[in-house]
Amino acid sequence: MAPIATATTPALAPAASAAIPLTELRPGAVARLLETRVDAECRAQLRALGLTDACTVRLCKHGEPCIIQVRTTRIGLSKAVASGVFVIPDPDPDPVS
Amino acid sequence: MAAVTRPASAVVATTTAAARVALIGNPNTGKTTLFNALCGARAKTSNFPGTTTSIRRGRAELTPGLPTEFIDLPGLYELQHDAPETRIARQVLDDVAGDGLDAVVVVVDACNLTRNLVLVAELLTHRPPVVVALNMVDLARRRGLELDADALARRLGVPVVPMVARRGTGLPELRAIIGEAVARRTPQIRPLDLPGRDAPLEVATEWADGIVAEATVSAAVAATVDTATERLDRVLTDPVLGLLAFGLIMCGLFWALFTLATVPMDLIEATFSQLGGFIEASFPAGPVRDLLTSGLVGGIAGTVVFLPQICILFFLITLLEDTGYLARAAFVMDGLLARFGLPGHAFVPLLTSHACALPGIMSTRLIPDRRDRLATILVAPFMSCSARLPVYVLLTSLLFADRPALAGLAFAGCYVLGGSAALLTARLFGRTVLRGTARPMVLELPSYKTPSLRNALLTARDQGLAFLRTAGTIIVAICVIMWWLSAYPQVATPDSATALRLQAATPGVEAGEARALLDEADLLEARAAQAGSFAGRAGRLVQPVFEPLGFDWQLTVGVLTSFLAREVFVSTMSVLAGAQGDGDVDEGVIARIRGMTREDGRPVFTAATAAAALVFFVLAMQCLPTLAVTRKETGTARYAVLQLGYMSGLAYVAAFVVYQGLHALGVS
Repeated sequence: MAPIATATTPALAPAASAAIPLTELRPGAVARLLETRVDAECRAQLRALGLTDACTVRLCKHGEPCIIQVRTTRIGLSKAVASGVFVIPDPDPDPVS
Repeated sequence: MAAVTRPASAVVATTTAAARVALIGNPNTGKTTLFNALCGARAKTSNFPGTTTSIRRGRAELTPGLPTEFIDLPGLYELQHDAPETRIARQVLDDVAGDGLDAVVVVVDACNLTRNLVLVAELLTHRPPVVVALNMVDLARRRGLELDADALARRLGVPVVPMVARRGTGLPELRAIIGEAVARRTPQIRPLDLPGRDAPLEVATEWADGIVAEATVSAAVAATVDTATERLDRVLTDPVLGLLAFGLIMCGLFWALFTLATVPMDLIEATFSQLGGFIEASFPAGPVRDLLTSGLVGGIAGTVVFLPQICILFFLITLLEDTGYLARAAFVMDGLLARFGLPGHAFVPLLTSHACALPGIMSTRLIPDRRDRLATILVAPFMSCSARLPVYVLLTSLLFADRPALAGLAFAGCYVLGGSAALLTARLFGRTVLRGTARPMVLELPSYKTPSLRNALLTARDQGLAFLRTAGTIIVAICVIMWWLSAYPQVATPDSATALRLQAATPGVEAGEARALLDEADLLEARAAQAGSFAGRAGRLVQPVFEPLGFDWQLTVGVLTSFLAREVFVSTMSVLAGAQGDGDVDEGVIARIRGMTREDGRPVFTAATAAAALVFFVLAMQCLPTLAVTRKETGTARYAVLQLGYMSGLAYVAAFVVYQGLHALGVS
């Protein structure tokens, strides 16, 4: 696979440079969705399940499947998809958890 | 508008029902449970015209004197998504054929309100009146989420009925409200801020979020983290523990399937054999009696005998699906199956096909993606089904006469060969006919729930009926044709048989000896009839094709007649060998078949021939009922033809390689 470009335009640089794929997010961490680098069909599926732009995602479990929670929906993603979902980790972790 | 007469619709079958109500909702919202509660056992499953997506329709009296047709639309998340189920839903909602829906009931999961309201927003932009069934409020309450249904109704401008469909709570209220919506056909009070039909999902989601906030009385933070689900998921999707749990659950499932199916299957076989006996006793001998007993009763029995397995399988799978486990299991198997271009969902159909490919192929309905579903259907018949068992027993014992350990090994090898052929074929098809790989899996992991027995029973009944209606009729027709081919033209009684009968009738011959002579005569007649029939003649005609595999004409007849169903091979071979023509593989039958000779006196089953025949039967598509079901489930004869051509071709080539290879090694 080609190396992943970190930024496309200077304006996006600060956000995009902090973006990591779901596979690198700490379990239990909360993050905001930046973009999904997956095929159109898969993106449509993710969006239908609630993974809309800038939504909040909580990572429940790594591996195969990677389990995330968007609002109250738990979604299982195969690793291939999870590595294409880029999020910006929440800098201020939820004090409750 | 409703007064305009239009031609009968192809989209939703025209009926005399006064009211027409569609049920729609996200997957896992309990929509089917609600549908079953509304219509009870009066539902019918059928394919949506021109598609292989099945929808269910049912009729019930909504309120006394108001007959209503309910249409259970396939589960979907939103209407913009381009998929078969959304296209069907849009067609029904947009009233393409002018049938006029009187109301739409949208089933909403109280625990996942925001995402569910996105669909509600989309529905509100359509014409039919909307009623919201706010389902699973008990589950939400248990998670500390209290919703104000009235506030929700005011905000959405449509009635909202809180309910627990599984327990029937809120059902009378829902019926009454649908009745009102149908009767009054009141225009919707569209919320002023309702996102437009083509608004991006983000806008609709934000709108839904706002409404949820307004309608929530108390939402514990705990609602967002469900620890019990979290723990269960960690175990059930773990690479090691998950696989272990999967193995245990599947063993349990198939143990239950086989144990539970034996009794009704035996009962069916006994009943039909009694029926056959009754007909035999009450009709004079002749072609009509033969047609009734061997053709029709045999054909129907051969179809109905699959019914217990199909019903029980669907009953168990529906229970398992209802618990929420199947979504987890799909992930556990996905890693393995994806390498061969099959989806994780394929495990149930493939495992089931070890019992019988018919229920296996029917259960591919669990697979959401069409390409993935086709790939699974095409390879499922490679799995060694129970009909191959008697053939394997016969051929392995011919191959390794006095070495049971080797016979057992060869037996297990057949299962491995079938399974590997399925996986490799899936991979091959993924690069050719069904270009593409299995879709990387993205699945909602529904909440764990207690399954509904009623749902499972109704699904089992529906699938059983669907099988009898479509596949059943074809299978019976095929059975009658195959019977005719192997029974006609009737040949004259061979002289040797006549001589034996005369000898038996001679005065002075003991009763026991006479019986033996008559039996011998019967066998000679059966053998002559088999050889002289169309199937027998075809065997001789086609034999040159099978010559390179080492098959003589008798073995070729066995292959041809078993095209109906593999187990017929054993009874055909035993008839040809001059044994009793039943399908039981016992020592006597094996010994007789081993003693069969070719016209030049060499044995029919040399080691090389037996091995080639074994490989042939593992791989060949010797099952017409399966082809009928493939045609039905894929919606086109093309895939049935591909399945037949590919499997037969592969079986031929593999058997050729085995026979010639063994020959080259000096094994005759």
